[in-house]
Amino acid sequence: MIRIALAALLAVFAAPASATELFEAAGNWQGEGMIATGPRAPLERGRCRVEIAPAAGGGDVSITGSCAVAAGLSDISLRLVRGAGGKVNAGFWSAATAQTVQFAGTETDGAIVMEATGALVLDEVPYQSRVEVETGGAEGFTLRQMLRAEGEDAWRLVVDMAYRQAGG
Amino acid sequence: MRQARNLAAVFAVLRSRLLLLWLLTGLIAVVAVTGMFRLRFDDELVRFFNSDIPAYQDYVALGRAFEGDGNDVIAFVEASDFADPVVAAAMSDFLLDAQFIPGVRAALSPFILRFDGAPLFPYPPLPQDEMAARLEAAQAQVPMLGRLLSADRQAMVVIMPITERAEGGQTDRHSVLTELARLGARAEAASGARLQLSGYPVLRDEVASALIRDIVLLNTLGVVVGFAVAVFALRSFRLGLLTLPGPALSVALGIGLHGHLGVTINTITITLPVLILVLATSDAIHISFERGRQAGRESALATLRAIRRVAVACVFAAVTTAVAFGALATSRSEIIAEMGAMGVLLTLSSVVTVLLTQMVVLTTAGRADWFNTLFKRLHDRPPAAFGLGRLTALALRRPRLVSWVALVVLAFSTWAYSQAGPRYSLLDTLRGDSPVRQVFSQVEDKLAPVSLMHVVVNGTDSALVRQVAEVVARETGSTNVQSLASIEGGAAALADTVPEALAQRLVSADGTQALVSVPFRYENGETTLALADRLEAALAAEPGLEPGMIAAVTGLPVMSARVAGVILDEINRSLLIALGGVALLILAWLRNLRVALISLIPNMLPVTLIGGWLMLSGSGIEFSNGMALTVAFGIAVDDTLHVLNRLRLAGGVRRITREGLEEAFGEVTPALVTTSLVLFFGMSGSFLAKNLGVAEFGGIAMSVFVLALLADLLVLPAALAAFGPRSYLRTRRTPE
Repeated sequence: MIRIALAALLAVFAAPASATELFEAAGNWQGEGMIATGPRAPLERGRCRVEIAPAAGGGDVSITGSCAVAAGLSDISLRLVRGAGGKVNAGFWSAATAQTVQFAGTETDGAIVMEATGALVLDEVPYQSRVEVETGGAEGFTLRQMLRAEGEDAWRLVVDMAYRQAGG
Repeated sequence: MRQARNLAAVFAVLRSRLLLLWLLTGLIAVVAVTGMFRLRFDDELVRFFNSDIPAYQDYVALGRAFEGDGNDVIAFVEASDFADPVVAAAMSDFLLDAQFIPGVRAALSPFILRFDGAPLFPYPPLPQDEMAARLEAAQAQVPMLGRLLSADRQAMVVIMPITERAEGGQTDRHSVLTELARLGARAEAASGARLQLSGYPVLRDEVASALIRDIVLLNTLGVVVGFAVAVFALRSFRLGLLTLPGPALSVALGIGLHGHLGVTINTITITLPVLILVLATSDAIHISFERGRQAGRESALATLRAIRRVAVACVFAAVTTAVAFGALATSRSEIIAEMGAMGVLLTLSSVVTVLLTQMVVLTTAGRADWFNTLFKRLHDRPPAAFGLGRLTALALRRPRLVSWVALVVLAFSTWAYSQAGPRYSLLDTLRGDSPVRQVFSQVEDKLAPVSLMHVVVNGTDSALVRQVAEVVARETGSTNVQSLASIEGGAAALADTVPEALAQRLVSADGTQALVSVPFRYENGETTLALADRLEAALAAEPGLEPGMIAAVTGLPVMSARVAGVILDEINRSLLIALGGVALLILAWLRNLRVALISLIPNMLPVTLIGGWLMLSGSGIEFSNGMALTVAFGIAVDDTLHVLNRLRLAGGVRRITREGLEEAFGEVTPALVTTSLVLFFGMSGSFLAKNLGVAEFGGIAMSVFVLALLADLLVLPAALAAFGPRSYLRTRRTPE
């Protein structure tokens, strides 16, 4: 698989609106923005399409879809679970990397910040991962995702995407 | 009194048998209709070459090991300038959205390329001048860009491999193409660009819709024309209507049998139903003419007698046509052999169906008063031969001259025909105005050749692949040779550097072979084979390339050219088999070798004249005209058989007299002219067919029918008079 696989894995975080909205809002969402196809690759234009299917009761939500850049497209699947006290846990799987990565974080004033609980290994190099989701008003939300190799101080932006309801 | 009782007994038998015959006809109709619901259409173009020929096997092995271009949708996009930010953004939208369409596996375009460590087309788009400079610089440093974007930045190619599910593939493909067209229209509206879709999936989609349209068109026109000619010749709307049931049921059964036997209608077999239709219509008209001659008899008996008198010629005509189809059934091409086998089945089932159906229809209709009146009128005023009877009169005035001239023409045209080589071009199946063909031409004119020649290398070592690629580049003069050698890091880095759909075109699925591909401008099979042979010779002579390192030089153009050469030779051989078979059949029927040989003259002439013309005009023998010559020969013999049958009924076969010839030709000429009109105009719908091969098949077949009629009216009577058994001419010359 080419590195687009990574982008697909990362871009999947773009699915939720704010956590509050995410756990209640079913439907199709489209993301528009920039994706890096590898931890060292430059950002390029990307697009994602996902379907959000909250479970009854609003405790968890499953999201499936795909992300594309010019060089290719990859399918993704994830499940988010809301815990007590604003905690959010997530498990993400990508067909491209065949890796499942666990994330944990908090939800504060409609914003979610999560970090991977384990390393995301790409080309045998482990990376830390961080996700920030911010609501962008009634129309959607934005997502920024960063990576950094172990030992590095600076986060490197790999996903920067704005989501809106598909067809809206 | 006794005679009356006998007649009553005959009528009673006829009535009870009529009911049984109606039941049998109804059963055939049920088989026909139920089969129609199971009919399937096959748009697979490569199946045409499916055979045990090594070139095809090489191509199959290539398809198994590597991703082919057979499922590539090609989008050809023209714009004022792809450096324009508005155009670039619209194209980027198209490329991203296209990948979300289920079935689209990738979108290979200049947008996937990198330059100076960044995407070639950055986002947000650069200002136009800046982007133009960037593209100009990239043209010199990124070889692949030259195949995807023109130097003037006004033409771009996007290659989109799609997945077609085996079941319901046509529907899936059509929906993918429809969605791509919708996205294309959106890009056009946003940027002013023009986007056209092409490639084999588009071609197959065109073929699939054209097959359905063409089969309806060909057969509807065939029925209408047959009916119109019958009405005109029989001078009665109602008698014309009475010629319809047999042919209609025959063609329905023909199509239904395709469905029941699981034989698909494809670009080759699509002409089969209409051939059956015109043959059956000819038989029905012969029956009507003969029924007219029996007008003085009791209606049911007259119909029975007419059917009996014509049946022999109809059955023999069907058998000779079946012989021609049977000869095609020996082809190594699966699709041609299938057409041959179905042709045999359909011609034989058709003649039974038309004789049976016309028997029950005419017998039943014969109970009406108007029926006998109309046939009596036909008997009193025989149908016109449009002055063509004069040809026979001319032949009988100068039989030896006409015969020898015919033999000289036959000898010369046979020689010319034997010099006509096989000719094949993939593009010949497409009309000049075909969108697919036009896009191919535009891409080749503005960007790079579309057709690919592949060299399969037994190994993935970069040095080996590079060496092969260099030989290929040297021999073809191409700067666009595509291989693993141009990938930094070789096979190991492939997965990380190029899209999967492209990687699978460079290294085999099992990782043991590499592919070196070169685009070349396709002209025809001959030039393709010359290039492939030159390439093979250069690779064989290259120092360091051990035998066994190169598996094959192949690809669709190479394979099709090699297989076509073999199959076209087979088609020509089929014609010889058909000629011999027909001569033997006539010999077995009339038990007269001299008549059997004479009858070949007027039937070979149309074939050799057209074959000779194909040589002289430089057209050569192609699939469509080669098969048309064979099949049309089998059908054209029909006229000769009806002449011989008439001569036989008058007892004139073993002793040729002028009076016998004049009487036989006088009786049969109107029917021959009428049935030839049916054959000719019945096939005319082929000119409206979307598939060019169908049009060419129809054109050649129509030419054979016309020439066969002229030869039967001019050459056959002259040859029978000059060379026939105990001919009046030779008897007159020989002293008692």
